[in-house]
Amino acid sequence: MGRENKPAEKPRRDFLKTAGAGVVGLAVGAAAGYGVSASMAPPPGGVVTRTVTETVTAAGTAPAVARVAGATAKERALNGVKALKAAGQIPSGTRLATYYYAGSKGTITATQKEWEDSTGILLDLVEVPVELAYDKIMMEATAKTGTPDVFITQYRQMGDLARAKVIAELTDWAYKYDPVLRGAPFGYIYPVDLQEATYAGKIWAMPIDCDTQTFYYRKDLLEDPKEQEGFEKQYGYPLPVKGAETWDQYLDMIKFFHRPPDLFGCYEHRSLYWSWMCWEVRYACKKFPVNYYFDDDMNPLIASPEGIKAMEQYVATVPFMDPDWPTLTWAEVYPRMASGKGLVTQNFPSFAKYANTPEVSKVVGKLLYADPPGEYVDTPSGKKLLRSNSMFGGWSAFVNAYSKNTELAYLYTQWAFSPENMPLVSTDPGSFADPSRYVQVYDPRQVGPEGSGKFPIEYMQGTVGSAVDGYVHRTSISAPDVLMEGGSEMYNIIDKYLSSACHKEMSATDAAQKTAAEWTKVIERLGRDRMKEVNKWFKTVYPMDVLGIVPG
Amino acid sequence: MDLNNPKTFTRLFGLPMSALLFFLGVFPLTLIVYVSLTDWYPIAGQQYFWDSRFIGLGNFVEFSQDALFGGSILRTVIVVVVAISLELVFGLILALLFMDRFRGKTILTSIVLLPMMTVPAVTGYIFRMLFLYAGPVNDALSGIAGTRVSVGWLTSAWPALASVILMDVWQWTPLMFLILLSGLLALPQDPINAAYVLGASKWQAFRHIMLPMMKPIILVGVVIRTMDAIKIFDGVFLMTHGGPGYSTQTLSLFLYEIGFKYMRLGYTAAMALTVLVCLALFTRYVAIKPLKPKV
Repeated sequence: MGRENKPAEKPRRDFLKTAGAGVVGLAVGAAAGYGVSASMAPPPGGVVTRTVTETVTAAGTAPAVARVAGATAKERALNGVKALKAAGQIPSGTRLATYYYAGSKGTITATQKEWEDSTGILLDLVEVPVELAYDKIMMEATAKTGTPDVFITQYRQMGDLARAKVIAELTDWAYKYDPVLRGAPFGYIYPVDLQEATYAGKIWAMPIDCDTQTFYYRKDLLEDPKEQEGFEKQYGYPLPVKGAETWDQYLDMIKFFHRPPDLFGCYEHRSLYWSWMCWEVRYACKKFPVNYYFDDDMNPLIASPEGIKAMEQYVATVPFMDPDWPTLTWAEVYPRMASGKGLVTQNFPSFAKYANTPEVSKVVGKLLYADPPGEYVDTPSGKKLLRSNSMFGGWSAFVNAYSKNTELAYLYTQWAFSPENMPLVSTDPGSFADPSRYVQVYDPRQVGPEGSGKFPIEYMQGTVGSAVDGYVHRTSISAPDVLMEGGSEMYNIIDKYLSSACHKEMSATDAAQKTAAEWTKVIERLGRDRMKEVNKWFKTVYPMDVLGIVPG
Repeated sequence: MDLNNPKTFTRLFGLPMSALLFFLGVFPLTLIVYVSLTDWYPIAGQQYFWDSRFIGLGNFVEFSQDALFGGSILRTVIVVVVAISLELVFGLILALLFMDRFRGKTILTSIVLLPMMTVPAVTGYIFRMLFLYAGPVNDALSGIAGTRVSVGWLTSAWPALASVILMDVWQWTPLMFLILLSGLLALPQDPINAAYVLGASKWQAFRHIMLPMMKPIILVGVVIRTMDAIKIFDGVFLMTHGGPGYSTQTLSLFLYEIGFKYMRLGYTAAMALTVLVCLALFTRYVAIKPLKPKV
C-alpha cells in the first residue's frame, strides 16, 4: 500500500508547484526585459556630439569641421544628403517619419515632392493634435523608438526635450552645413534665431514659425466719428485710433465696444492650453528693461506687484469677451473675429492672412495692425511707456535623438526650412507657418494687397507710428516664453490658475501666488543651482537692443 | 517527470502561457513597484529608470499631501457615484420597458444601444459642442422657457462637472440596460406569478420579488461600470480638458498630466499603484465577497 497524500501536503505541493512556475516565469520575464532594455541602453559614452574646437571668424579661420560646399543652405543640405548616400550611410528605402501639428500639413507638403524627387527619400507624415504634440514626443523619453525622425512642436518645450535627451543637438551640423540662422536678408528675424533655435547656448532646432503677437483692431469702428465722439464723452480722452497705448486704454476700448451678441469687446485665448499666451504680453511690459519670470535666485516673480497687476488686467477683460471664451481656441477665434464679431483680437500673425482672404473674411481692408499696449514704467530717465511683445508659441522642427538617421533628419529640416524654401512653406494654403526669416517679410509671394488672401503689405511693412517695418518691429521686441527645463509643467500650472481666475474660482492675486508656489516646487525638483545657470543663459535671449520704449 | 500523467502533461503545456502571463503581469508590476520607489524624472536628465534615485516611500508621502491628487479623487468619486446611480435608474427603467414584446422592439433596442457604440472621444467632442454657450442645449432650453437661457455649462465648475456626468450617463446607460435586461429576462417567473396570484401589485412584485432577485446582476453591472467610470478620460479630455481650472480633472486626467506632460514617472507610478491596490481591494470585498454563496 503506497503512502497516500495527506490533505495538508496536497495544498503545500500545489503551492510549491505554482510558486516554482512563478519563479520560472519571473526569471524568464526578467531576462527578456533585461535583454530588451539592454538593447535600448545608450552606446558607451551616451549620445555624443562632436565638440567644435574652433570658431570661424569673418576673416576665415580654418574650422575644426569642414563646411560642406554649396552656395545656399538648401544646396548645402542637398549636398550633405548626397555625401551621406555616397558614404553608404543611407540604406536604400530609407524613409523619414515626420510629425506635424494638426491643421498645418502644408508646412511639410509645400516642399515634399521636391525633396522626394531630389533625394529619393520619402516622407511619412503623421498629423498630431496641437495640444498633444509635446505629449507624444515626450513618450520617446521612455519608449526610445526612434520614430518619428523629425517632429514639429513649440520652441518653449525645447528645454524639457533637450534635458530629457529626446532631441538631438544640432550645433555641429549647423556649423558644418550652415542653415543661415542669423542676419538679414536670409537669416531668421531677430530674435527668432535665439529663441526658437537655441537652448542653453546650443542649437537644437530649426525654426519654422514666428508667433509674435499682433493686435488686430477694427479700423472702421475706430475711425467712425460717432464712435469717437461717444468714447471721448464717456471716458474723457480721445479714442486711440491707432490702437491702445496702455492696457488701461485697452480695457476702456473693449468695454466701450462690447455690444453683445453682435459685437464683443475682444477675442483673446482663454481656453486651456492657450490661455497663458495672452497673459505673457501683459507681463512682459511691467518692468524696465524687461520683466523677467525669475530673479537671479530662481524665485518666481509671477506674484510680484507687477505680476499680480498683469494677472488682474488679464482677468479684467473676460466680461467683454464672447461668452464661449472658455472653449475657443485659435481655430474658432479666427472665423468669429473675421466675421466682424470683435473689436480687437490679440493673435498670431497668420490671422492677418486669414482676415485678408475674401472667401472667409468680412473684415478685409477693415483691420488695423498694432503693437501691444504697454505700461508706464520707471526707467533711469523717468517714467516711460514700455511696449513689449511676446513670442507666444512658435513652432520649430526638431530631430529625434533616437532616430536611426539623425544627420539625414537634420539635413531635411535645414533643406525644408531654408531661406529658399520658407516662402513656399508659409504661402502654402495648408500651412499656418508664419514668416520667420527676413526674406519672407518682403517676398511678393507672401505679401499682397488688401483682399488678396496674402499677408497685407501694410501688416508686414508698416506699423503704427513708426517707420520700422511692422512685422519685424513687433518680432524684435518680443520676450520669449519660459524657455527652460520644467517650462511645460510651469505653463500647464499657470494655464490652470489663469483659467480658475477667469472663472472667478479664485482672485488674480491667489492665482498668481499659487502659480509662484507651484513654479517654486518645479524649480526645487529640477535643482535650483542648475536652474540658476539656465536662467543666466535665458536672460540673453531677451531682445535687448530694441526695448519698445516710446521716446519722449 | 511522467509525461503520461495527464496533470503533468497539462501543466507542462501550460507553462509557456503561465510564463507569458507572469511576464505580462508580474514583470511590469515589479517594475512599477520599483519605479514608484524612485524619483525617475527624465526632464531632470534621468534618461533611464536606473539613472533615478531610490527614495523609498517619498512619492507616497508626497501624494498623500497633494491637494490636486485628493481633488481629482474626490471629483472622480462624485462622477462615478452620480453617473452610475443615474445609469442604474435609467437602465432599469429601460430594461423594464423592454422586458415584454412589442412592435418595433428590435429597432428600438438598436437605437438605445447606439450611444454605447460611439467612440468616447467623439462623444466628448459632441457634448462640448452641445454645451457651448450658444449651443443647442441652451437653444433648446430657451425654446422651452420662452426666453433666452444662457447657462455656462462649460464655464463654471459645477455645471461643467454636471455636463461630464451627463455625457457619461448618455453613453453608458445602454450598457447598464443590457446587463439589467438580461438579468430580468433570466429571472424565474414562478415567484413573480405567485405574487400576482396572491394579489401583489406590479410595484410590490417588483420591489419585493424581482429587485431582491436582481441584486447579483445589479452588483455586477455596478462593478463593471465602476471599474470603467473610474478610468474616465477620453470624453472629459475632449470636452473640458479638465477645466475650467481643475474642476473636471478626474483621476485619469491627473495621472496623465503628471505622467505624460510633466514626466514625473516615479510619482505617477506611486499614485497609479495605490489606485490599483485600492481598486483590487474594492473589487474583492465590495463586489466579489457579497456574491459568494453563504454556507
